[in-house]
Amino acid sequence: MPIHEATYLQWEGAVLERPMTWFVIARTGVRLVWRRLLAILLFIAAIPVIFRGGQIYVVTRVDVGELPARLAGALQIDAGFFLNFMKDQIYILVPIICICGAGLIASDRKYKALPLYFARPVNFWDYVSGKFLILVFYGGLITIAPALLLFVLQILLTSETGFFNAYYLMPLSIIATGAVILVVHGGLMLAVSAFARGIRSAVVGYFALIFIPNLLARILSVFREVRWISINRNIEQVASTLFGRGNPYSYPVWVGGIILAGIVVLCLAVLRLRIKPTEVVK
Amino acid sequence: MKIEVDKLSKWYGQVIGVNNCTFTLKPGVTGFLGPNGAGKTTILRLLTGQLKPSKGSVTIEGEPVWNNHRLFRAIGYCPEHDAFWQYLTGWDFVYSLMRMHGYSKGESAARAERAIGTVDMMSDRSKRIGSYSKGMRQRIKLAQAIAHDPQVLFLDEPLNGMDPVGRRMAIDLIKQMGGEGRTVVVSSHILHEVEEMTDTILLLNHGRLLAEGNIYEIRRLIDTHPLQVTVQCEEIDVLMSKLVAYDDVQSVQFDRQRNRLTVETIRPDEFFDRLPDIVLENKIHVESLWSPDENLEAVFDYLVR
Repeated sequence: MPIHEATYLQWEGAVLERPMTWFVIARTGVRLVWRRLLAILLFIAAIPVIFRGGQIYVVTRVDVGELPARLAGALQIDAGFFLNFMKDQIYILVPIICICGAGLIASDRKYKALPLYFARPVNFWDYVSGKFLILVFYGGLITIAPALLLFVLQILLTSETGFFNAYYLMPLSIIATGAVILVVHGGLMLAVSAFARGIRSAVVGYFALIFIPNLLARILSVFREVRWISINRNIEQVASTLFGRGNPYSYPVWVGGIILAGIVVLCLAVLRLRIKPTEVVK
Repeated sequence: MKIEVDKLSKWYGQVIGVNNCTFTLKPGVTGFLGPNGAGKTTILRLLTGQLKPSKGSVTIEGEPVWNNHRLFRAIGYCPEHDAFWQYLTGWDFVYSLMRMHGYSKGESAARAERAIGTVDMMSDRSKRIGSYSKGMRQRIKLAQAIAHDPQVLFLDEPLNGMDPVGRRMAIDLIKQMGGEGRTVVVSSHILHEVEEMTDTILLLNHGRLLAEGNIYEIRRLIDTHPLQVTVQCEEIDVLMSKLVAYDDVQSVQFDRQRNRLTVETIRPDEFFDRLPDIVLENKIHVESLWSPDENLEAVFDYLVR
């Protein structure tokens, strides 16, 4: 049996004056999810990348001019290809965000673990940014990272420099769109997780906030343009602008931007309200 | 480190959690005693700077503790609840919390290892917290509270769920840390637990400070409180006739249906010395014996009456 020194001594070394506690929280969370869900995450994330990668391979190896015009148009690699990829990834991102994020704050609240953070040099922003970065890491693996990978793949497989010359700013569009997606969905998940009583109710709340407005927008748009009530439609509207494409919906892009910014502010307000050391009232 | 609490109050809306408490805590072990809901946890959270006082102040070495991150480095806190972070291993748990204190990777690892060793959890350090027993979770929680070598240590019900060996270890550790000149505050609702760790106690009830000082003084007060003892046996008539003859027995109640006799005595020591003789001489078959009065709540009710 090992013998351990029982007496504690003051440490003579340097303690960081402002420790990066957010980084410790983020890294611990990322490692936890990684251990539990790595296989599922990689499998889900790989499918669309393989599919789109295959498309790039075909386009760069086959003479598209010989294909029927409609098929050639569908296979074309341009800004629309990457925009569509990012839009499609949102639907994969939603379950991933649920898996990674539902318990991030809900569990801490449920199990009264918040005092463990806040009895240390950890403040509200350290805690929230640490938790948010966990979602950014996994969300980025689903959205930004594969889109950049596909961009690099296209450049590597094509022998001409025309694509790069035409789309050299594409990585910025990808990163900016990814940031919008992750800030909105990540913020929403954290707020719902802080508000919910448990993981299950956080998942239900998040799905409800994403899909009910989506459904309503689809139904009501038959009568008038109300797609701005859907979070994902607003993201698509902003993303299209970031990729230099026209607005897909008939309301101005700034409306979408303001709604998304409002959602983020609202999420921060909810987080501010709910994240406190748990107070027991008897 | 000296902790000074001055006219401290905390309200939760209409509910008062802590009511105008003033006291000073000096190096050594101090016990916070009070029944459930007395305000012990709220006071601990005020003392650890997690809650902002509604009124009054808490200072450690003259510095206000609320939101004072520099002071947080000198504080160790072991919360009451323990069902958190099920997927982390015990080692990861302590290590991560040390990193949050700003220690380097190497130092955090060394501190985690030493603290885990101190609470005798080395062999289980790589297992997930979710697989730990209640006692093991208490130990690992204690490890995170002491690993950064705090000068002030707050322990909220630290012995809950611990096995006898764990309790001994925890009590020895708490006494040792107090003996080293640290300010250690232990909250509990069990009198004899605190009695084993310290002579100095603060009595709390309904958010108010009832008494502070030497535990034996409090004991003396408690000893004047008639103790209830319930005996379950077939021969309750015989036992009752024998017990009423003694002047320390203030009242006797019986429940024939359940064969129970409840006695109120003002001199429990004499009563317990005498009872075995009566039982043996009269061939009484005692099925069980307990004191419903022996919990702190009853004592507090008596003290505040």
